[in-house]
Parts: sequence; C-alpha cells; structure tokens
Amino acid sequence: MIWGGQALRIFDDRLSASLSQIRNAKEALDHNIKQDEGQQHIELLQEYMTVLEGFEKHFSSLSNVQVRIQLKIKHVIGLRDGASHFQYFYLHVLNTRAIDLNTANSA
Amino acid sequence: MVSAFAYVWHPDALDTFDNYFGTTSHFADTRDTLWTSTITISHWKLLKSSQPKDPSNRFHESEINAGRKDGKFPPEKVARSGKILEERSSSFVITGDVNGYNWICSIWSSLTNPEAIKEDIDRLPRILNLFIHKQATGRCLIFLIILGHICGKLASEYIGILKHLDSVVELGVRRFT
Repeated sequence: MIWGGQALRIFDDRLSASLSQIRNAKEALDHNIKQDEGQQHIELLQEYMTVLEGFEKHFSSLSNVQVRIQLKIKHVIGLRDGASHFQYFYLHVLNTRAIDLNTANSA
Repeated sequence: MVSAFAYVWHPDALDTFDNYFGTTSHFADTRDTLWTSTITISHWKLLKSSQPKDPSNRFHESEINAGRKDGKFPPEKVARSGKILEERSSSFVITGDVNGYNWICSIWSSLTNPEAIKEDIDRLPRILNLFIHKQATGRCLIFLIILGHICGKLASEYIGILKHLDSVVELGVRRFT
C-alpha cells in the first residue's frame, strides 16, 4: 500500500506538470487566433468551435485521469490512517488489559 | 533517425528533439524571425517485461541510446506482474514563417501511430483550405488538433497504468471480505 501511494504521487506530479504545459499551449494558441482575427466569418467560427470542442474533450479526459489519481491518493492516506488508528487502539486495549491483570494480581 | 531529423528534415526543431530526451514537460511559442510552436510531454509507458528489445530497431529507445529509465512495475518485492514502466516523452513541433504560411510539423511519440492519427491528419487539408486567408489561425488549429490527439492517447496510457496498479495493489476493490 505504501508503495502504491508513492507511485500514485509520482504519477500525479508528472501528470500535473504535463497538464500545466498543455493549458499554457491552449492559452497561447487562443491568443494567437484572436490576434489573427481568424474567426470573423461564421463558417470559420464554426470550424474553430468544432476544433476547440474536440480538444477540450481530450483534455478533459486527461484531467479526469488526474482527478482519479488524486482520489486514489486520498484513499491510500485514509487506509493508512485507519490502519494507524487501529494499531493505536489495539495497543491501547492491550495496555489496558495488562494494567487490569497487574492490578488483579497485586490485589 | 535523430540525425536525419536534426540535420536534414527539420533542423529548426533541434531544441524540441533535445527536450524529447529529457524528463520534463515543456511548451514554448516564439515568434521572431521564425515562428516555433513546440510542446514536449513527459510520461510513462507500460510494457510487458517479456517484450523483446531490438536494438537494431531505429525507433528503439533505451538507457544507453536515449537515457530512458525503466523498472519493474511493481517492484519485485511487492509483486511479480511481468510489466515494466518506462520513462518516455511525446514531442510535437511546428516551425515556419511568422505569418503561418509555410511550416513543417514533426511528431515524436510512442503513444500513437500512423493508423491511429490518420483520421486527425486527414482533417487538416480541409481546415487549412478553409483558413487560406487566415493561415496563422489555421496553423494554430492544426496544433490544437494534434495536441488533442496526444492528450487522448496519454489519458488511455495512464488509465492502463492505473488499472494495472489496481490489479496489483487492489486499491478500493475490497476492504472487508
């Protein structure tokens, strides 16, 4: 589980960097298109919107993968914390029983 | 192959080819005497460990010739799964004149292949025709189409890696049985 969590964090970091560069690319290209005023005609505008929608669809699928990775990381953290709490609780119970036995014996 | 690109086919894209062999993602769009739009995305590829590696293959990338690191996934101390995770990149660059009239495009990626990208490539002439009087816009749209294709393929690759990870670690499959 620890290994799985570490692997997920590495994937998250790398994918996060990739998504950031892809977003930068999209913004830069949008800026270039607006400067070129390349959408003034209705047919050109429609084509621009079609291309943009196609791109957003693929980009969303990649963003969703990152969301999945981050949810899994949270899940791993939850499991790890749960295991730690259980371990603490178990040790606490053992200690309590040990004290009770000692008390009983001395009585 | 790399030399052919660097010296003959696409010498203006040398920086991109250099980024391709790195481990970081990078985007740049510069427009002075030459208009260069380039993106490199760093990722992994899941391979079967039994897959033969053929050094004579001109597309073969290894630690020796390309600095590509790989490792068993998961490590053997966790489980034996017969898979390897290899560091890879996907790069895509368009260079040409500042008005977007004449340009060259190179795509370096193990995420896709000619058959997979054919449908998107076939759309390009129609778009370039449509934007014949706004060629800078046409060029930008081409970049978005190909970048979208790479994003889709990258998503599929990561989903495959996550599925494999789930099968080994069984995260979220069963908590109590």
